[in-house]
Amino acid sequence: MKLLEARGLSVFYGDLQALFDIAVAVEPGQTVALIGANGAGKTTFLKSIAGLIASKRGSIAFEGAEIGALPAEQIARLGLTLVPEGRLLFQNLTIEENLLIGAYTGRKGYWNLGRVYELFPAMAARGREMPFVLSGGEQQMVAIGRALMANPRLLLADEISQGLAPVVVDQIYKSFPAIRAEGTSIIIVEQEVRRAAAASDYTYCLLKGRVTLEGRSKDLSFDQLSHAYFGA
Amino acid sequence: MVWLDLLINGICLGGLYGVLGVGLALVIGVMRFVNISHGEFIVMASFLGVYVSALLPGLNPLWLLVPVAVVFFFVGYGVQAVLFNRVVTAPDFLAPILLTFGFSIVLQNVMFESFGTDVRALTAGGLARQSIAIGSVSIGVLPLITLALAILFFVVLQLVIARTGFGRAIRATADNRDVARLMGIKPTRIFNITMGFALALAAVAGLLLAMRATFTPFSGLSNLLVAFEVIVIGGFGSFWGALLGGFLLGVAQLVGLYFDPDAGIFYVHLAFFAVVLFRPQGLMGIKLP
Ligand SMILES: Nc1ncnc2c1ncn2[C@@H]1O[C@H](COP(=O)(O)OP(=O)(O)OP(=O)(O)O)[C@@H](O)[C@H]1O
Ligand SMILES: [Mg+2]
Repeated sequence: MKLLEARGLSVFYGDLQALFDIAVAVEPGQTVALIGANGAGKTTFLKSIAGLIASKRGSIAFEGAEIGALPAEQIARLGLTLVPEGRLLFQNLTIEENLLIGAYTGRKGYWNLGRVYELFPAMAARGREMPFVLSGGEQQMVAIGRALMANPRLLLADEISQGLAPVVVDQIYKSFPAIRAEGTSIIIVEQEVRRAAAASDYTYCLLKGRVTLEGRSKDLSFDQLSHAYFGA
Repeated sequence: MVWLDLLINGICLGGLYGVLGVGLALVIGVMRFVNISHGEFIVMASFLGVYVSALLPGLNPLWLLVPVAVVFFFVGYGVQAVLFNRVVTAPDFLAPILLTFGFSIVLQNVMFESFGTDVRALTAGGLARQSIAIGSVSIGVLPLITLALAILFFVVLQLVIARTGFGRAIRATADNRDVARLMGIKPTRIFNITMGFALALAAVAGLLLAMRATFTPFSGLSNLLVAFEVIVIGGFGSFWGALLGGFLLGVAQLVGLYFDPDAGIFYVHLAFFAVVLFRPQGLMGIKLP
């Protein structure tokens, strides 16, 4: 059984249709990359899977159960967790509280406060500080840690390298094997095509709300990808 | 010594004003929702107190605080769930104001139909007349109890919000509803419980107020006004600011009454006006750029 399977997914913002008949599947244990230019619809896809956009058609199955009509808070309880674009830490909560609130669903599993601090040791000493003191990369670590606290089956990561220096991005991507090792599948949304292909098993390319290319990441050539990415 | 007397009794009264405001502040802070009918709930609690007291003569009305607060917690929870949640996320900022304004009129008229326009008060029996003399200053026992309760409520509320998991969920929801939902938090449930707390505080304020001053079904508006003044003076969203704002207004009222016995709460509004004029960000608020 597939972990996630979206079929015929169309999403609307009022009269504007942002996604057209999308079909995306994630196998258990897989890391899937979703690439595409600005405005392609990547964030819209992740948000609609996570239940934040209600206006949609088609089916979304998670672990075999239809979740398309569920609100975000119920989907979160099933173990599908979104790291939102722009990190969106809670500014009025301390760093540690940001992590703790990730465990609100009470889902049991490998991840807890201690394990997240092991994964991102730089955060361990800073739990009592407020998020605004952190650099972009550190905020991203907290955002990922907050999502891990929910012990997700599927982690959706929206542009985690946005605005970060390459060395910092490398550091964050280094945490992925540890996350996968605990059985969590990942969808990464990335603007940088090469990095996405290197980090994933399977790649989907979105262009103007449609899937223009998909395939096993190691089978896709850079030409194919850039063609699908820019639509040229 | 007159000054000390006015100051201490003003602070006692101000604690009550703080409680009047803090429920409203809590709701505004958590759900960006202005409940115009907050004052009517305060008056309804006063009526409930009078009604129950009449059924149980001789009972000290302070014993009613907890049960009436519990009742109003559930009233708040229910009103939010059934009515207010429909407009909390309305894109039009007028919707909550119109709904709660309309609701306040409905409540006023229900109280008017049920109880008439007679001026009422809750008699606290001997307690109302007792006072403690410290040196040459005499402080009423009831105002002192009021102040102690006000501080207790502020401390408890602060602890719940700052230290508990539920308080964390409240703060997260206040910051960003959608991201809170991603954590598995159901915002409407948080809102229901928040309104429950807010109206429980309103109920406490209503009972304590009824032991000090008279009221009618139409007293809600002046309660709302004081509540607003308290939180504007305190600086929006600041709990301790609300208490401080209450103190200031309480002292202003008693000092005003000392010089001008017919002034009512005119000097409360005057103090409010002065703060808004000279420190528009409130006493503890952050200065806006
Ligand atoms: N809240 C919204 N209301 C209306 N239109 C929206 C909204 N959010 C996104 N859109 C539109 O939907 C389309 C897809 O946007 P989306 O944010 O999903 O793209 P994206 O691939 O994530 O882009 P980026 O790389 O810039 O994050 C765009 O045309 C965008 O303008
Ligand atoms: Mg995006």
